[in-house]
Amino acid sequence: MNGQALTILLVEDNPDHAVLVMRSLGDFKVANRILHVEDGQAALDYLSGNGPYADRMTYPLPNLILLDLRLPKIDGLEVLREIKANAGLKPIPVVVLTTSDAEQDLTKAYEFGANSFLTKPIDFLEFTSLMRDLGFYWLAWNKQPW
Amino acid sequence: MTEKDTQSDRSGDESRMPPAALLYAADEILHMYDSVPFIICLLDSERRIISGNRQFREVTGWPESPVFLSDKACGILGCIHSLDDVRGCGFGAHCASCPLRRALLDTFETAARHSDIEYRTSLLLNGTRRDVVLLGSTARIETPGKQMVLLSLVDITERKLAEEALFERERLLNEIFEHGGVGVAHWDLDGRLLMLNQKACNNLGGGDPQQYLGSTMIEMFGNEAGMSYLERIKKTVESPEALEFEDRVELPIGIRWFHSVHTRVRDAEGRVTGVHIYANDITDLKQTEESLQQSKHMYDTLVSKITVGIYILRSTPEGSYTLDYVSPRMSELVNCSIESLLANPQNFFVNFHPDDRAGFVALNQEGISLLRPFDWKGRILVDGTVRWLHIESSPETQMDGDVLWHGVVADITESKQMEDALRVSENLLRDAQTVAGLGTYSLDIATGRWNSSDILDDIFGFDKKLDRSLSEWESILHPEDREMMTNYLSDEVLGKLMPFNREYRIIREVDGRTVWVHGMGRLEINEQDQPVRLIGTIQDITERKLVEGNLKKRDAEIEQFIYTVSHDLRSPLVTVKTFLGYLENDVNDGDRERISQDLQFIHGASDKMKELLDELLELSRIDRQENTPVRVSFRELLSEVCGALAGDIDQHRIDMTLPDNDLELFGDRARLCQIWQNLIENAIKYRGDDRIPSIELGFRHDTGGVTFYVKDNGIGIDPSYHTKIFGVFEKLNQKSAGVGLGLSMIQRIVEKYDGRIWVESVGQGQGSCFSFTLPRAISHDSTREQMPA
Repeated sequence: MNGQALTILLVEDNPDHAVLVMRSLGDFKVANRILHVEDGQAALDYLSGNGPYADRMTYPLPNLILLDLRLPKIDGLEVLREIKANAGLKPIPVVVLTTSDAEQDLTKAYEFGANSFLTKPIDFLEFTSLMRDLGFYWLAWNKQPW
Repeated sequence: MTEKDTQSDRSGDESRMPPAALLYAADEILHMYDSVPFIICLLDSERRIISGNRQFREVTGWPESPVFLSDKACGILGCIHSLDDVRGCGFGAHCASCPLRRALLDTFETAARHSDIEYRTSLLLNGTRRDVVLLGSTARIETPGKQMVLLSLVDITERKLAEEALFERERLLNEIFEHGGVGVAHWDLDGRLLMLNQKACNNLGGGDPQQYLGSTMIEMFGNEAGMSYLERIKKTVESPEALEFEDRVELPIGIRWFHSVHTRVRDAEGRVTGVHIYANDITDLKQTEESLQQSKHMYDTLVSKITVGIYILRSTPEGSYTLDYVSPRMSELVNCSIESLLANPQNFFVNFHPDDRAGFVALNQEGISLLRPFDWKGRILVDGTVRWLHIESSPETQMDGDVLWHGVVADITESKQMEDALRVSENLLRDAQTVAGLGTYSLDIATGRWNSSDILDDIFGFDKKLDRSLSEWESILHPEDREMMTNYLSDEVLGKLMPFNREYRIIREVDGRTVWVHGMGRLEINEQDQPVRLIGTIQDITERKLVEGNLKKRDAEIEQFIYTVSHDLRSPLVTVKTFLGYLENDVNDGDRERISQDLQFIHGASDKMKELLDELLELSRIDRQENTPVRVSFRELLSEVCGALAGDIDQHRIDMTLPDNDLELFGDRARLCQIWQNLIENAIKYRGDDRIPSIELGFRHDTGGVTFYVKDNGIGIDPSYHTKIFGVFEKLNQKSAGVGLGLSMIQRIVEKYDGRIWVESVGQGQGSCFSFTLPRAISHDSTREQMPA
């Protein structure tokens, strides 16, 4: 762990789920900041620093991206494909966090370069422990090139 | 005795006269012979005629005519020495060689007292000169001191002629006997051969006829045959008539056939003394006859065995006709005896089916008058059952102008029945093929020529013709399938001798329509394992492919639907469950603010879930529930929808534009309403805030039919989302009302009417135009636009 501020980009269209994720991750204080966007277009805009996200101080490149797959406008898989096709964004770990556990999504996600694929558990304890482990693993234990 | 007196008177030379007593005696004797039919005269030693009977006097004219006999001449019979004198003995100048004169002189001068001569001469008898044969006899009568010669002449002409005739006949008989070509053998009553001619000898084996003489029948022909021949001799003896036999005889020279005539031989008293057998070798004849018999037998057998009947009908230039020949089978076939057919040719068709008889007669007459080959098929009634006959004949004009019709009659009942059955099954097959859309083909591998059934022509859009080339097939293959199919045919089917089984597309030249076909085929392979023919079927499977395509699309839709639903239903569940966990913690912590927050999330998610479930139920109803289709005017439908939405329209001051023209729709009224209602609701929901919202409703006629549209001036939709918006639970704005099923539902309804829906929008703030078609809701008689009143 270094002293650098850790940022998570949460791409989640369901506001309830966004609250849940942020609350769980916040409880374990693994990240300094969790930024939330509601659709795929917003996610790509954020990462490219387009439009409202031009200021990298306010909207820095995240250390981890939590990506839902079912998103309005541009869906999660397409967002994933574009991230991994972009050399600058490619190193950022993308954890797919989705409600569905459909086989096609799983296959496609890894094909497009997802670093991890997680299904939101329905059970509270499972959900919270997943969030804790997720945060610690990717932000504390996992070594990053930067 | 006048002759004596006359003679005496005329005898001038007394010294040469015989003594009176002698004369008298001679006269007396000769007179006795007046009545016999020969000439007699008596000469004295002076060679003077001293007496002659009546015939003598008649022939010679003696005593009035001079009769003399000298060394140089003989005048006895009035021999002629000049052609002027018609009387005479016929020797004329050759008197010296007259045999009668010679004989007389000999009788006088030699020791022989008697001689007979026979000679020919001419005599005038009863004024007629005729050639005669005479038998002259001289006899020297010696009396003491005296000698006389008695001459008698007998006309043996008749006898001589008879003798000659007899001789000639004998000669002829002999000729016939020896050379007549008939074997003649004379057997005695005991069966012993007494005589045989050369021919009979040849019959028996040739050689010298003598060797057979004296042999018995048993010796010659063996015990068995010999006894039977002996038996015949007995029969012949008893029979007044000649008996005829034909025998196969085993001889050393081989087996011979003889025809023989047996006649009995009788002697002068009428007693039967033997038997003549006249035998002819008929072996050659017999052999010819036998082979003739054989071939006739074969012909008869053939004619009786062959299933067709044969006849020969003779027609004359006058128009009459008769049957010259009728085979037994023919008689059977026309159910009429040979005799009655030959007696009356009309009987030919007496048993024909009444409906066919007139046609036969007419055709027959036409054939006879035009000399046209005859070919007729028709029915005949045989014991109440109908049989079919096929009669053919062809004319052959004869030298005499008659025409022979060589005819053949065949019973074609079975083939006719089979033909009928075949026709029925062919029709069935054709019907079945038509119903199934199944065409058939047969491809000759060597030539690449093939033919197609009518149905196949219909499928391929071909003109009807029999012979096609393979390139005709290749040319209609869909460009995307062409290479694949030609390779398939050459490599897989012909190369590996696999059955043809492929689904492929063709493009019909006649209307440019793409048709899916399923081609199947079986190869016929020859002894050298070479493919000879490909025979198979082509089925139009366009419909099936369409259904398959729809089914695939539907499957994908359902999969997508299940995926979406499971995801979207799971989301609120995750929210509820997780916040329940937090709620528990917060209750324990006594954090009232968070408790209330937790409960709010839980409520929200539960409502969302209910909403989702309700909408899903609604969507499923589109497929499950359907009201009876009705006819409804488009404008009427719109006014109903606008009436239902009047509150929203008024509230947001929407500028509504309704169409001027009308159209009749046919369908589920409620569902049709739902289309426009949802679209108008969307248009209101996504109106722009910076302008007066307007919505335009209408339809237009396109090439594809009628296209409806709902056009607004609202916020518009980015072109990249134009497809996504029709997905289940798709919402471009998470915060907007609804669960994202509205357009999905509209799309389902449109698809139920075989239509499609799409959106046109330049983008954000540019308004949207939803267009859709409803082919099944447009009834054909309503396509004509109804102008406003």
